[in-house]
Amino acid sequence: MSEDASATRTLSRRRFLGRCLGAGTAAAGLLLAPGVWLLHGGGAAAAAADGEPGPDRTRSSPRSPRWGLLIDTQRCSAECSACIDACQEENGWPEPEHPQQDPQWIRKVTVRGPGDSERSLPMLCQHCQNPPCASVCPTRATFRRADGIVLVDKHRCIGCRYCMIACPFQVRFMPQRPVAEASPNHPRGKGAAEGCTLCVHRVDRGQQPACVERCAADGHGALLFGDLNDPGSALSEALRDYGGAPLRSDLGLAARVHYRGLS
Amino acid sequence: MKRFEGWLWGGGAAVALFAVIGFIALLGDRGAAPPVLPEPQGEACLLEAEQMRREHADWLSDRMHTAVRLGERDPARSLQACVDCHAVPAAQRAPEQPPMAFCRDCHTYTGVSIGCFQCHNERPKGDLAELGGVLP
Amino acid sequence: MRGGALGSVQSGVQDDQRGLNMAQPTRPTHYQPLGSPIWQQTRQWAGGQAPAAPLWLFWLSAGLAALAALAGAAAALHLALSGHHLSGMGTQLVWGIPHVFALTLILAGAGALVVAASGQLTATTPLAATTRLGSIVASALLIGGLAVLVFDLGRPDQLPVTFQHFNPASSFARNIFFYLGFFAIVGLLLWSLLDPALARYRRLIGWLALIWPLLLATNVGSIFALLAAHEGFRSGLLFPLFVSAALAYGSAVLLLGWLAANGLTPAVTARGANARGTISSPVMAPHVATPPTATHPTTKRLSRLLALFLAAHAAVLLVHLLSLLYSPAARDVARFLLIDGGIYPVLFWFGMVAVGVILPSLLLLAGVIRQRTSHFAVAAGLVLLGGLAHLFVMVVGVQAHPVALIPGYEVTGAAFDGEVFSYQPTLWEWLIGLSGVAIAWLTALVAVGVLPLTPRPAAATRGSSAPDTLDTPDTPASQSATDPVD
Repeated sequence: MSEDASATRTLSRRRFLGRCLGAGTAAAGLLLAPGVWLLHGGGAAAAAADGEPGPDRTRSSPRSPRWGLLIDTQRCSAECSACIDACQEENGWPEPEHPQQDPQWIRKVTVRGPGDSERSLPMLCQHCQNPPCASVCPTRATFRRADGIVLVDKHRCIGCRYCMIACPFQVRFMPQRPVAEASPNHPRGKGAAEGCTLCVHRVDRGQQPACVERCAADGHGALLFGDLNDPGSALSEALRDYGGAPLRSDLGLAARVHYRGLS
Repeated sequence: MKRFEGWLWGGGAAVALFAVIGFIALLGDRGAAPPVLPEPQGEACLLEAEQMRREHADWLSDRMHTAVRLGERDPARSLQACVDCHAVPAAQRAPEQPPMAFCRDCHTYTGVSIGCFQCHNERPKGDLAELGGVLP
Repeated sequence: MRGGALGSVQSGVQDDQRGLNMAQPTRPTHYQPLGSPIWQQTRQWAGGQAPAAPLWLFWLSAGLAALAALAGAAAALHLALSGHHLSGMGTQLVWGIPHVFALTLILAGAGALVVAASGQLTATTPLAATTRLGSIVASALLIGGLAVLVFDLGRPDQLPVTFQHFNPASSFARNIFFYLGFFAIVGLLLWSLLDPALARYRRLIGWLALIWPLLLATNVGSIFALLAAHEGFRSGLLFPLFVSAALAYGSAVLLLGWLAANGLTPAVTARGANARGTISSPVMAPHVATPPTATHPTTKRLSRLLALFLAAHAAVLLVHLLSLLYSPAARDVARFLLIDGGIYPVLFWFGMVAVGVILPSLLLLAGVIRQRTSHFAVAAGLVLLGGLAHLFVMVVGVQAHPVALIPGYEVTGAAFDGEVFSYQPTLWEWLIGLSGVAIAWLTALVAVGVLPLTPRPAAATRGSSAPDTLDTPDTPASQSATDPVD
């Protein structure tokens, strides 16, 4: 009788648990695969390439530039906000009404270290080589360009804010109220993530970021922009001669913004 | 079958209602005339008008990808270049008229939503120069 | 197999050999036939007896849930049009109340499907009676949770993009894959249960339905476990923690659903009142009069499962807390969450530990001793409330604690540098969060009303008022009562 057959087919508890274990092991492999892929360097590079047709210009060659920034905290002054003003004018973000919610692509922070030494420094997107914001972005809206600049492709951003929680520096924002009018230099809108672009529109024209230019003109010359891949660039030389380190190197982010004068 | 009869009647009624409303909407649409679009400021467009009318969406989305993700910029073919040529300068604008009435009016007429200017600037460079390059 | 009705399940050890197998294609009569919604059943086969409680309660609860769901959708629209500044969330604290509800619902849904699927695999155990109900309740919860997540997006209109571009490194993107698979598997599971043609694939589908939600819960855990930025999140222990949370919430919600939904089958209500162990205020089941008693094997099994999973969850939680406390980098945030973080320690110790673990454990014990289903129901509800509190502490509290921008240095400056974020959720967030519960509730309610999800005794099929065996103690009489079926 078929019913008897079905009775013998029922599992004993031991077999049930055993199979659970086996299936669980197989399943763990399925979960591990994306992580291995990420480890392999697939994350950010693939986030940029994205399987679109055309030559693969997103994989950087050793000769392509790798933009970086050196911030000399010994020169930066607590009273000065030239970089912030320049960024606001260049990229068209207003003075935050509600500091807890509104974007501040670049902000000044005061750092009190061991021995009570106090430093002021600008905090902006660190343009990591391994950007957590890009690896968590579900639609690859956040990506790293071949030259190392981390950008948001707002055409794809859904506003889930996963990148904001993933960023260790809190330099990613989402405009929470309607944007009155966007600058021609940087389109921006309510609900789409954004952050410092290293003035990508200027860099692509061969200019320096607005903050760097203004800091040299009106500030204290604390910012130095350049190509980390070019050993002869002023940035590389300054890093070689005077040193400077990225923040949170413990997290393996390999940030492209370097700070000098912290420890 | 009988117990599904109510559902069938309900579904049929919904379809019929949809058809009737659609028909009425189509009737009401008969008199709509195509909008008169503002004259562009420049000499010639990048493509023939007929081709541009058909292909501008693909064209823009291609530019969107190459400029943003690959970093290959072409100022003459950027969206801002479209705006600089097609936007109505501030001096000539009627009150309440958006600068990019050229895009918006046609999209309204064809009933296709346009999302570009939710984020992108729609003022021509001339306007911006008058404002001193700084947005109000 | 004889005595196919539920009564035979109660014969203890014999279960494994000859007990209930509701999914037997030869026994479709154990469920009401397809296509007879609840509002017709009372006329059709209550054996001439009116249900004990009026049907309008069914419509009332469905209507209220629909209203709450609409309110949430309206709040979402308002947030999408006016902007997220209307919420209490900000740059530092990006996920708040809506996400706490969404996570609870999604985890509960995953756990409910695990329990339901194990009922499918061990078809002779009392859990088998919960497979249909559990799979529907699970997907209802998932629908509710996902609705909340979508409602809270900054640009919900961009949602289709998630299907065009896929980043496998992102836990969210992987989750989309797991969510879609979840619904497909629930569909297969129900199909295999309702259609005898698929009977031979039942085991395969059962295994899929067992493993998939476990993967889903693990992947939900990875959203937080892989966040390097926050010391309070970055921990491999979040994987087992989310799995154990899913199992605890899932068995709780299934126990609640089982107790409530059985009241919807007229067969239960049509029989004489059984004074022992009724739910005093049925939530989902309007005309519940005599839901299964505490001695019903399925009730017993579900409540034991809940106790087991709750204990496992508490154990994993303890390990997680210890690892936080012993890791020097995480000690600050552990202190914040457990001792001096304002609302968060209160919610943790009172909400999670007292209300979410200790009280339900005692109630489950008392329910077994005193044989009261009301104890079970309250315990299950408390487990879910405790889950909300725990996820609030774990998700919101960790974000409220300031990030260590430069470890070893004290950083001040912007509103979110070195400051605790004071989170004040607004009405909109509550509406969105609660609408997830309402959507899950409404979906489950309609499904329970329309689909044959809960077993009923064979006797009722013939419209007679013969005593059914659903909740009578194991007696020879109850066995014989089902015999005429064969």
